[in-house]
Amino acid sequence: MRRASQRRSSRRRGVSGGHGVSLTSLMDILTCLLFFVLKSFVAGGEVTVPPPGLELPKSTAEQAMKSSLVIAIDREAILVGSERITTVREAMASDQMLIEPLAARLKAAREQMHEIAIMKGDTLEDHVVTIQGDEEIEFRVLQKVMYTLNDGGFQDIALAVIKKNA
Amino acid sequence: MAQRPRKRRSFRQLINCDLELRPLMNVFIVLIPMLLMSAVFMEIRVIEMTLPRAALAAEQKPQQPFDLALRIRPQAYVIEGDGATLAVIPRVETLSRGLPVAEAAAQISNILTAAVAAHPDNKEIRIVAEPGTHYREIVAVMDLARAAGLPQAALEGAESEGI
Repeated sequence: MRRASQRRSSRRRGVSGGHGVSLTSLMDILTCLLFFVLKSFVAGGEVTVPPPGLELPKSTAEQAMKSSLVIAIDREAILVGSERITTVREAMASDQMLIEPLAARLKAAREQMHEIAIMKGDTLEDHVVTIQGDEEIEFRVLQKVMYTLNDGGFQDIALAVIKKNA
Repeated sequence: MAQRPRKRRSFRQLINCDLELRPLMNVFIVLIPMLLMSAVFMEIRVIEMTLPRAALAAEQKPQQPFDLALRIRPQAYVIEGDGATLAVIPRVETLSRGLPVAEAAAQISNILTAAVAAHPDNKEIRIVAEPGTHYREIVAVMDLARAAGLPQAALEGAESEGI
């Protein structure tokens, strides 16, 4: 009798007993998800996204990517960062091993790095260049790009690949 | 009569213990899709290489303990040690989607492992590719060499000297 009167009185006062959605379990899921996403960002190291349409080859390499100048070679063009430098067809049309537009852009990049190094008070070390090559490109293209890099004073090269699960 | 006020107090406590989670929920609902959209799910790794300096390349190359080379020829993979042919593995018949198939890969791996066992000081291999060789095949061969204990791979063109 007493319980019934309590229920009635609570209904009269508008107190919510069970009509509200319990958000606690959903909050738990969202908190876990948030931590997981944040952890993947922290553990991911240097984050880089290949240009659209470029498929990197798969490899068992384990070395993480470092911050560096990125040269992307897709099936049509050669890019430095996101800047389109020349087309693969143009680069292959020349008999020379040196790709002139790429060499000019690399020279500018090297001068810029040199200025930054002077401003920071660092010595100019060998800078790493990361090559993001499409898996379909032929070795002749890669060879010309590597020759141009070597000519421009970039000896340390990192070939970007997608980690293959063994 | 003495119990009534106590019951009322507990009733009030029930009302006050509800946490207002909706604002936090709203923040999470905005934050999680934003983070997921900017997340990169492909793990990008690198294969590091060092090119010979132009001045150094023109001069004498440093002597390696054992000159191991893997030539990717149109018809076969040729493995050479100090200029002598160690093995010839057919390529075209075994090529699947531009990659060496399991048997060819196993053969290359076995020969390279044997070469490493015979010359443990050597950690280098020259990969000599034809101009038309696909990049993914070169990477696959580099993977086999690394797995066999040769982490330092140098790329060379079959026609030209140098790189």
